[in-house]
Amino acid sequence: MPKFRTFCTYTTVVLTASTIVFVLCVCGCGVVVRSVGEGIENVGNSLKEGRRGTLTPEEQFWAKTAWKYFENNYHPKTGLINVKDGFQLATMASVGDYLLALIAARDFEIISRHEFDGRMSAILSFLNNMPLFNNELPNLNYSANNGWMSNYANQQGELGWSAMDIGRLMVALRIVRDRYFEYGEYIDRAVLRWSFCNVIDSLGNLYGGTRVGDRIEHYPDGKLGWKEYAARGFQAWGFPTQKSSSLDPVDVIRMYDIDLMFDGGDERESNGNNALVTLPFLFDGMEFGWENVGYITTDKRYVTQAQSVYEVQKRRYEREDIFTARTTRILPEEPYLIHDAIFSNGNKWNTCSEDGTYYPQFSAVSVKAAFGMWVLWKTAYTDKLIMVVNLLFDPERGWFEARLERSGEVERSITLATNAMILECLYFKKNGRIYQPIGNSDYFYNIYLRDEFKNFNKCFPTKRE
Amino acid sequence: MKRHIHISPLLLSLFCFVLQTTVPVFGQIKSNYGNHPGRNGALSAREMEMARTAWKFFEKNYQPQTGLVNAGDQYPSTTMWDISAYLGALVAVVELGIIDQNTFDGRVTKLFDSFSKVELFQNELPNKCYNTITLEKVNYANQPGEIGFSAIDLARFLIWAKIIKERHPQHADRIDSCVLRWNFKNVIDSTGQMYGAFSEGGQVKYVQEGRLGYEEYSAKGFQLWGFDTRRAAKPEPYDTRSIYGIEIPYDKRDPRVLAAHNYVVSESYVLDGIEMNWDTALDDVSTDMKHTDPVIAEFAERIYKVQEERFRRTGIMTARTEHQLDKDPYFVYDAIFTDGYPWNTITEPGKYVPEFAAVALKAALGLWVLWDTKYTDKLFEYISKAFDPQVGYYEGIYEKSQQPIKAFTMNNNGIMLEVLLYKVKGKLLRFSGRESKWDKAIKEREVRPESFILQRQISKAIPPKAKK
Repeated sequence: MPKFRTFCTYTTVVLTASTIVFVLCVCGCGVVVRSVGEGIENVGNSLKEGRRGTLTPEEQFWAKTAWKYFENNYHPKTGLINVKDGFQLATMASVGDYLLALIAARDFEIISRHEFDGRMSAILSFLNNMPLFNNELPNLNYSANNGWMSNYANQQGELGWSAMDIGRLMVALRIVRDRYFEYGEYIDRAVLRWSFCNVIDSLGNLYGGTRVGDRIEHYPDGKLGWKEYAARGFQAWGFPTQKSSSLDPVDVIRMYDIDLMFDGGDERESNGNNALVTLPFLFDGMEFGWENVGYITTDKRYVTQAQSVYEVQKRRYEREDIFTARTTRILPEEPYLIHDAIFSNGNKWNTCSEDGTYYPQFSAVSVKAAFGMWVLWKTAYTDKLIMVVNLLFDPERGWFEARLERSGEVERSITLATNAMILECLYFKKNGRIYQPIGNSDYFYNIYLRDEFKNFNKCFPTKRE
Repeated sequence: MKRHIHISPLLLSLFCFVLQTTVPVFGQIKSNYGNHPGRNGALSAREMEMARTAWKFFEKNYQPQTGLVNAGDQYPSTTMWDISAYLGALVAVVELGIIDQNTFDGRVTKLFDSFSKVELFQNELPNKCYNTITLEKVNYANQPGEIGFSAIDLARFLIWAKIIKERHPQHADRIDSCVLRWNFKNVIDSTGQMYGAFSEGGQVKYVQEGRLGYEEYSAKGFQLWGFDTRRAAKPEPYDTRSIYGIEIPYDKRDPRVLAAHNYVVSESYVLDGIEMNWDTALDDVSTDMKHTDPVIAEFAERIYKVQEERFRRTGIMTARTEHQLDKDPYFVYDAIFTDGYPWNTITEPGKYVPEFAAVALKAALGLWVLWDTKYTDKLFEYISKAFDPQVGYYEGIYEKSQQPIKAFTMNNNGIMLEVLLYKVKGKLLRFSGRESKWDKAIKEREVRPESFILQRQISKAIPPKAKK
């Protein structure tokens, strides 16, 4: 029973809360994917402050500890990993997280080439065979052990899709594709299975889908932070994303003399939230350096916002002596998903559930946010911050989720997202910007889409006006 | 004349001085105190008609047997806040010549005679509500029973009792006798913080009362009677939210944790302006063009500016404050900012109800008199016809439908009257210098020492400094 409820909540979170990562790219409309935007200049590396270099023995130990999670929660039959320790559910965001963890584990030689290939083959095989919601797009949830589409109770059934989850997966697929040519064709085929007509419109707005009785309802998906990150994923596969790549509509809140942007949509009438959290900015920083990379562009304000998101948390520590590294987390108890936000629903340092209810008792230093801040900003603050979290692990099971602000108690949930984040952070430390474009447009995906007899009515970029 | 609060007080005084000495304004009545902020001068025929119409409410809802007036049209209940609006209305109509001195004296005498007889909550202070026909303590449903007291309501009453004492000293002793019955031991603590009381399951509970705006206004009310409300008088704790680039101050105490909302509305700042000129409570020296409570004066300026700016940018007429409705939920905090959101309209439990946003007449007229601008000219035109000639002015005009809120209240009509009086007379609190019964009682310590803190401590209260 407790598991069941946890599961439901988590799923909801992943789907609608924009908690999970996605990437998009902005490209010109109606142009062949790869050639679009190739003239855009990479504006250089703005990550000069970050931590770089080979892993220290301690960091190698951190990575090995994180990888324990992926050993314990692996389902060889499907290739999937549980989203939470022992909880047999997977989402597209969790698959994206996993793919990056997998290339990190191989890079650190925690796993052999043989094991890497086995795992990669299994997950690509899953992506090319999994049932799709309404035969369009990946469902919100899949059973990690059976591979079928599942509902909030993780029983067989379909729910809908999240553009945020799909965006995160598309970023991860792009990254892996451009680093490992030997898997590129099969990654392309997985993406080519989907139909994009209802998830992104011609202006680049992103939509989620959900089944309501016999109908499928579409809703605008993504709030500031996650929305632009998910847009990177769609853009990476050639979709124009002007609207979702733009931070607008923005509103501004001043916190510790920093003007911080937050989502300007009004969440009061929808009983939702507009949580501003750290994680999407960390992903974007490690993967794209908050810049235009090749043809994958983003809003010029995103880098400023990312810097502000870091700075305001640092200042909270400096002025209030409260360690701060906040992001959305999965909880072991009600309400199961918590937006531990910098700003949400009109309040600074708000900690609220999906519907905006205030839960100050769950404010915490998030392990994944702290690691991300540590690796992207090499400062006295993150030197201290990492000390708050760097012992929060079980050597046999992986890293815990957080340390609670009001008591110091360790929140002992163990999740895929946190363990994958630690591997990704260390991969970034060792290799620098994670997305490295290949600069070649003659690959399977583009060749396939150029063939007008093969691209039927699924609204891929070449067929858009 | 448009005021610029950002310039230094010295410059401001010089500016006024020049204006007064070299620019005689045609048709203006000069009070002994010189010009005041906003609109000055005798009422025009239209404005006078507005005053007469607002007074209709008080004629129609007068209860001759008790001398009280219903707070809502035909609803025989009232609060200390609403009684204060009645006092304001009475002073306005007698000084504007709408009623004669005898009528005024009769009404004031009757009211305070009745009030000296009412039963107090826990034998301490006036209950939150009274029945206007029977004088019984009642609950919000106007059923007999005591429910508590409100420090803010009492403070507004004390401000108006003081204004009448000083402007019409023939009533001073009667008013003092009434207030000397009260026991202040639970309404202010030794740090100068104010408390309200309520009954819960037979137990009386005292909780801190007042949020930014109302709290500082109320703190002055107690200071006028010699109490030390240092902590309440401080604008802290506050934060600001930028709305259209204007830093709007709001109370930092968290509405998610504490029951009280932190609504920012026009009313507290307007009342502080017209009654006390945004001065410190006991300032009887400075001219009306100088504000000796500069923080509140600056906040008031921003409260005005942001509403004008909203009109400029969106075309929506804006003059917001808490107000009644003509349908369920009957009352909203129609705020410039509250509970995290700009232009938020919420019910008492905090539900978002944007459909009840409105131009509140008392706020619109208050802005009109304190800020002489083209925007407030428009506000005046917008509200000037929203009345029923038999009952008085409507509560407001709904923002979306632009239909009137068909509710009539004593508070709305009373504030409109005192606003009109301000145009003619400036700051309404004028000190006579006369020693009253209350002053003597304090001096001779006839009031129990634990029930208040002596006047001499007031002089130590330092005016709050502006936050940089």
